[in-house]
Amino acid sequence: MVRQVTWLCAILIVTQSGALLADNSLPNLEFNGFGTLGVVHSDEQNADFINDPFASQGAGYSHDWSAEVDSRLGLQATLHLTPKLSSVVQVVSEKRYDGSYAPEIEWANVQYDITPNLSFRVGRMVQSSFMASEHRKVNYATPWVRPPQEVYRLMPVANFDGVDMRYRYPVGETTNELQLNFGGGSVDYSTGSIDASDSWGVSHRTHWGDATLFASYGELKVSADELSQFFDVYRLFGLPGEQLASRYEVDGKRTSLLSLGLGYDPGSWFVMGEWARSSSPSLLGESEGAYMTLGYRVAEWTPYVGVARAKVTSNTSEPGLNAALYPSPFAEGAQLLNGMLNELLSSGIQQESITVGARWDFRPGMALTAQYDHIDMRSGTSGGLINQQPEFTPGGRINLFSLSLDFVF
Amino acid sequence: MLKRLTGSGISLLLGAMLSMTYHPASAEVLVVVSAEAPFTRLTSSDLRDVYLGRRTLIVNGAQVVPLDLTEGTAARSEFYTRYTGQTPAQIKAHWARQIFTGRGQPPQALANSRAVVERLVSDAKALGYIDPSFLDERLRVVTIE
Repeated sequence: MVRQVTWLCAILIVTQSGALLADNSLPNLEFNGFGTLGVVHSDEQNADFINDPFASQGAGYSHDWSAEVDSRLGLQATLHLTPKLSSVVQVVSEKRYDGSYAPEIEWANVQYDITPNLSFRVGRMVQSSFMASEHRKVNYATPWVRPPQEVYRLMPVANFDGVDMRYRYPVGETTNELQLNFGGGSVDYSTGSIDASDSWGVSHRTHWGDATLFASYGELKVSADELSQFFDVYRLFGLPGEQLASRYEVDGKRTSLLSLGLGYDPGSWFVMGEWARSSSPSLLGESEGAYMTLGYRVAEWTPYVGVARAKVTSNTSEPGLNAALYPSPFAEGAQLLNGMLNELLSSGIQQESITVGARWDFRPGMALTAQYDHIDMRSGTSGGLINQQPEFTPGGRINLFSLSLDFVF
Repeated sequence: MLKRLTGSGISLLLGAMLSMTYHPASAEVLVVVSAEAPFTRLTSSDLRDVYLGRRTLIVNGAQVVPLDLTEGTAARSEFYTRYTGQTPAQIKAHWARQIFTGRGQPPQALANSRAVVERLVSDAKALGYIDPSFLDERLRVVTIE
């Protein structure tokens, strides 16, 4: 419902704004773009390393060197209709879960500036859950080949259709930006979709000299068809099944996400770090992630190192139904369900990683980045790897080698 | 007229002195406004925030509009290195973060100092930086504190 109203408002504002034209340099249309041509190799050949959590293939098992994990192209049109009214549409083409490169709308909104410091937007936006969330696909604008997954994978739904408000205000030598948003979104993957509804978030960013401070908190309701069906089956097993379903079902429960970040960049070097925690009284459980990246700039070169860590702080196993209490074939069914439940509970990312890389800004608007990641997965976990083959052993270590050409225009 | 010439003479001298005091190595850019502009001083953090699009500066009810030089010019590199501590590549990445998150576009870029001077003279709200050899009596050097 929110989405329909949102789109209606956006269309109305655009179609009714013709009368407001005043400045003769307006309307003004600008085109910008960004992209990445990247390849990544994983030395784990029995599973796929991915960046987009909904991808169907990645590097390792499906491809020795994969160009699908990081490559993408984004195009943006920015229309200034009046000094106060503007619109941004951004489409991004990258490898989708269905194997195609069909472009998706990343941003499509209408912005109205009540004052130069206070603006409202309606349409499609990206949540500012983490420090680099909103530009996470613009690799040129971040130090790494891809944002540290230990933090950025905590919240897979990034787009939302709704409204947001941004307020910029200076205090002394600091400049600040407060952002509030409300809406909902959804993502499709190969066997279903995940919907986020009633999502709201607040984020705050302060620039103080060379320092940046960031904080964000948000809540959303997540639902997934596949999970609903899974718990419906549990409910067939009487009271114990009902209890398990109500404890672990995802539908109708609120997930919260808290994140804190800081950066310091005096020019010749920089450090940035984030910590985040997601929490849900459901199967999704509670997870924490953090990273820190340190870089040094020498002419066109920026070598950097990073460490990151992710862990699940809620239970990752569950005894489930007591199969002995049920006659065949319910006993076998109970065991099957318990197995699936435990697999889901233990699928959260739990790992530590070390990243070493170097970026070369070889010409304006273009950079080449080489990155090495060493990921140490906690015992029994699979670090978010997909397409796990029977030979795959969880809890191991993997090495990634990435090369990425990033550009903006 | 005489007063204005004296005024700009003083600000010229002041600008020269300041650039010698603070930046003895290379005085290659001057931050300037129209002689009619309502301000002649800026803090270095205001200057940086205005050029990075983080702050809207309003003087006497008018919004200060920063003007840029096109990428690749020596004066531009000099300006950003000195007043933001960032290289042109870092500035490019900064604007990529702004543009692709709908936070706005970089300041309008003009081809050379002459074009900046012409714009400043016709727009008292504009703020620019130029090669010192283009300074004339129609402009005032902005003191960066």
